[in-house]
Amino acid sequence: MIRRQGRSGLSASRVASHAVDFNPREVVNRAKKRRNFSEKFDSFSDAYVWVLAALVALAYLFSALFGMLFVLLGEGVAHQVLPSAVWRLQDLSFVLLALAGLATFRLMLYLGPCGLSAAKADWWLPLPVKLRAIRQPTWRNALLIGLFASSFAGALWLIVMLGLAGSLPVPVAVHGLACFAVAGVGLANAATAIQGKNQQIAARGICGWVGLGLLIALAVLWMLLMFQIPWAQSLVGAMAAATLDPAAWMLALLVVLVLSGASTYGAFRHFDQIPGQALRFAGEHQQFAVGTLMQGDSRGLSAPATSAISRRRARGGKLTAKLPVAWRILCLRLLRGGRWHSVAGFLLLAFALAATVQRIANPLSAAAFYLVLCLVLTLSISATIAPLVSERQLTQLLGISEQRLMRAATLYAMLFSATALLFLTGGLGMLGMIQLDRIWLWIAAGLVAALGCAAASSAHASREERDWDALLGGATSESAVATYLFLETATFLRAAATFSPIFFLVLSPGTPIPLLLWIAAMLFGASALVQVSGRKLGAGA
Amino acid sequence: MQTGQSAEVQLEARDLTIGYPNRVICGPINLQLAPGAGLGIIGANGSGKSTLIRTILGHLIPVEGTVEFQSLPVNESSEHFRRTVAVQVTDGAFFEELTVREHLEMVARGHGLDDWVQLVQAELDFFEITAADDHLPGELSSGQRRKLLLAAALIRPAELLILDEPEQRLDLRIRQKLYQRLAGVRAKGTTLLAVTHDPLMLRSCVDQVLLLDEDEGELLDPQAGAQWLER
Repeated sequence: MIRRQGRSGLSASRVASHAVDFNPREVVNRAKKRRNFSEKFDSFSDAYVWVLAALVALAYLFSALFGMLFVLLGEGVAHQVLPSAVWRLQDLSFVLLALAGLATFRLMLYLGPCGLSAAKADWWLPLPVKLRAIRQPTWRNALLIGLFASSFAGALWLIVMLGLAGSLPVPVAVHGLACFAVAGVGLANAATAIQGKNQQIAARGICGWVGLGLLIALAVLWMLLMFQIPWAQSLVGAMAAATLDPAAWMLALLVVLVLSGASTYGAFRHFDQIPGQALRFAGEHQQFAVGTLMQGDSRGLSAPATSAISRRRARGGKLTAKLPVAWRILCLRLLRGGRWHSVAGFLLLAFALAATVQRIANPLSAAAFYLVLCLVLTLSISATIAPLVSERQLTQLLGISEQRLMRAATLYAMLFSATALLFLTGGLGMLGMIQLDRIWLWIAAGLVAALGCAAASSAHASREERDWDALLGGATSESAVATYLFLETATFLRAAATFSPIFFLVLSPGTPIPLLLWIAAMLFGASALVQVSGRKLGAGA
Repeated sequence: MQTGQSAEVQLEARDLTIGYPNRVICGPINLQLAPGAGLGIIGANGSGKSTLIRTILGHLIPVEGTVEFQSLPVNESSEHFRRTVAVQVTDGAFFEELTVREHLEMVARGHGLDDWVQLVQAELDFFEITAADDHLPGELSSGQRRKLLLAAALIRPAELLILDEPEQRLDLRIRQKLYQRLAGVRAKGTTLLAVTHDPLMLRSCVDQVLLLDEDEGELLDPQAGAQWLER
């Protein structure tokens, strides 16, 4: 104690007088002043990079969305005329609007919307100052995030409308984009006010119910159209027409402005009541989201919530009791982690689109569904098997060799992929989108595709988390980043290549599949066979 | 140095230098552990205790020298190594969807133990976590998580037991029970290698202590090791 005092050179009386002079506001002001030009320039350049990234993403998404619409509507390809296909894709654009608003609101609730990073929270929250000085900049950031997120969604929606309608009146584009921007601010403010009242969990629950309500409303509307109820037909027609009507957008802009003003007033009244704990949690979510973006890796984002696993803790216990250890772990992760939801959700979406929307029941769409399933399967399965193929201490406990665990994981991946492919093929076959008369070829093609998904899943799961900070800061960053991206792309391309016999059967049902194509597809999926046979492959395989 | 009950060598490190490609932490270390030997590893923070454990386990490549387990180079992915070496190293290695009981069940069944139901219950009782047997890892306190890891390392048969600061977050009573048990495990022929900061552990269940204080390790008897920790 004495030694420490001597070292610091402070006597007890000097320490006491220093404590009396301590003014927390001064500390805050001094810290603010220390944000010199360089730091401000850094903030500006960060914002500049994000805006630039958004513009580049929009440019790429423009092509991607046009491509997707081209494929879904099967331009130049004969499509099945299904009695259940009662509306056009354009009729559903209204639903996209509602979904965009809901997604932006959920995003703002998830991100806080006011959040402090963990480092800032540790420093600022314990200070005996009014938290308004801390909350004000976070509120401003929340408004900016809401504005940009909603505008981005709006730009995407307008691109889709341009693709569907062929042209877009300028007033619609301008008013539409303004409407999205104002709505973004309004939604961010609404989320802020909700956070101020500490009701964000309830609000998230309500969002879920609203989404469900939207689905039910769609189902009811679809049934009414099936029975050709005149008022339902005119309602759908009017809604579709309104999406391209400048007057409707002007009215919407006025309504959104009023609502946004009201929510801004609410947020202004409540934002300084946001508890420090909520600021901290929101900050953690914000960091998590940015980290996921920086990692370019959906593994963290798609991880099931602890509360969801907790609810399902008893699921599958008895059902899997007799299974071998590795299989039991995989099945419990599948059931309790809900890791089948993304695949099932995609299959339902594909069937719903194909069955209810005109022109989507065509071979091009079918091929696109298989391609997307390949990606969804790879990501979903890799999340399930990851601990068994990459966490050494965890698997060390089990006393099972790496090869045996890898074999179990690969077999599981093949089985899961084959099941999902069976459902998709069966469903599309029932809708008449694909011809299943050459059933043995379909079975063989499905097995090869399952091999490809298994190989890609285990390669993706074996790949460790990437430290993008280190990569970008390294002297050889470009080549290192390029290597990682190349590995990821190669993994998915190889998986997609194993689907080539399926694509052939979908797009050219009567033509014999060249032997070379079978051999190439088999080669791309061969690493899964090697793993099943018990031989070891490198992580990048 | 050689410790243990017989001349047979369970674990051997020869001229082992540990560290990272650009940074040597400690070495060279020469080590021979016979079946039933108990070696405590002590040292200041950053002296290389955990790095030594990770190198012995094959998680890190030695800067120089070799590590052999039962006269074979360490291969932590092989079935033989996994069946014979029990490890408790980090805090976060759990299956987030499996309950406490299911974790222990998986380990016991993975090692082919027929009476796993009784063994799991015995471990739950020993570590006093029976009330939390249906908890998920995310719902456990840090002390309960530590107990689960130790229970998982002890429920299974092992010829070499490697523990990294097992005393952390355990109360004194559980620590005393644990050390008694570790002494019993050693008496049955299992070699114990443990990093620790607890003098009680050194006095209770090891017969030699490796002090990583200087560049090279120094071998002490348990009493001297305990005194070094208490100084």
